[in-house]
Amino acid sequence: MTESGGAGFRQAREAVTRLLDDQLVPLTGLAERFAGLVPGESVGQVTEKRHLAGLLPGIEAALQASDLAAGLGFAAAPGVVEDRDHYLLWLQKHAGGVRRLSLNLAPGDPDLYDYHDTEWFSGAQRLGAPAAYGPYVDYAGADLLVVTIAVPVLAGGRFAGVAGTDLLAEALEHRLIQLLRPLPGDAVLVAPDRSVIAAGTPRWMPGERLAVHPARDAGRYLAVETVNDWTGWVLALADATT
Amino acid sequence: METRTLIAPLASAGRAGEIAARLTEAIHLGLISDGEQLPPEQEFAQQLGVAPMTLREAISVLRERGLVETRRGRHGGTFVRRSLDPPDEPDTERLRAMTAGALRDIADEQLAITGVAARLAAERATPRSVRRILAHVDQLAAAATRGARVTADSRFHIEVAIATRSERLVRREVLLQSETAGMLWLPHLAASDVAAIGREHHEIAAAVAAEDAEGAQEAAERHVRSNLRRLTSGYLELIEDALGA
Repeated sequence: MTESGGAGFRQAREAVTRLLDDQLVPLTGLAERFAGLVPGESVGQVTEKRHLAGLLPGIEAALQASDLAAGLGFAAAPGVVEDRDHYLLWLQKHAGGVRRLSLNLAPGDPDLYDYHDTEWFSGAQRLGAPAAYGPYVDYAGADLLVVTIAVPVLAGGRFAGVAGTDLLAEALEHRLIQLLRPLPGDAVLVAPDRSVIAAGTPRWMPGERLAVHPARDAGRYLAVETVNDWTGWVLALADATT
Repeated sequence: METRTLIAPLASAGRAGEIAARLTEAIHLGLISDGEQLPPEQEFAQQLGVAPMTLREAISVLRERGLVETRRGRHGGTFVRRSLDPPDEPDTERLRAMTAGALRDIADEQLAITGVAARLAAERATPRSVRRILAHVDQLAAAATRGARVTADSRFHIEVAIATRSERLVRREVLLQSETAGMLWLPHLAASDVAAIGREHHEIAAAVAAEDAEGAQEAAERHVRSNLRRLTSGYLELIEDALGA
């Protein structure tokens, strides 16, 4: 990665890192409570009534406490919950309060919402580490532009699903802009798939995709640095366009 | 144009129509499973952010389209019916009640929405979006029934809109699909048109996958124009049938 773009750049990068790492706190908390409620030998016979209902108050509290999250919850891996390969315990914020997300998870339905192959789920599973995906329009779930982040959840040391949250892209951008805007130059935060998450300049727009990832286009930027290993997002700073 | 016409009240069907369109697509897209019971009216209206009266109006549209049925009694309620082959009469009636001018007007909006969605999708689609768009091309090719074709066709276009990451374009494309897809896939559609629609979708998908914005927009616009011709032929045939009868 390119050399540092000065103290301001380093501070902004650290603040972005912190902002994103903070979003993992409620998820790792949920993962810990899950591990406490679900002993390894119950995998395959886990039920909502016996094991998972106890997670709901914590999920609701975490969702209410977050100013970025539109939804938060647990998504099961196949073979964990009794008779259900797909199972979500996911709450969403609404004008009227908090409501459980209801999706088509009917076993055998060709149109079921198969979240197992989404980047946030399979990413957390493959890496055994937090994963981020977005911004994307989640038409089946939140029906909004969101960034989904997820951490693996273990039962008896084995992957049992993820604890995840949908962050509102707008709310996240609002927070990021305040960190990017003061930088001396044009700052942009970019996902590994070249999607722009936020930019402190009208030169790039959130949701657009750069033709070349900043890491492979170092000549164009004063500084390019990864903000967190788990997001893979990079903060890049270019000379201000005049 | 006089200001008066611009501030004329929305057709009463406006809000209810939008809710009906959203629910129709949710059922077609399989977001709601077959046999699933809709929430109680009061609660559902609150969820959707509309008045119970508006929801009732929307549900009656769905009932006419054969997408839900309401059962009375102790285990009563409104249930989703996602038959593989929804009846074509409601869509035939809708097409018969159109005019060629109204079809052209819909296509004009589609040129703006579907064309630009294809361009932006080519600029922005993630690998996952591209995979899903291509899967819907295959799904249409494999579809053998009217219901399966309506679903695969709408899904393809909505997936392209989703790839743009624009909530607004997705919303508009959903409305357009729920308005047009049922009328397009009526029994009179020629086998050559069925094959051509498949090729047109493939062409759009290939341009999106290749990140070819110009190509994707042009392919989508050609597709909209061809569909307008198909819809208008269908409409004129219905008029002719009525004259002959």
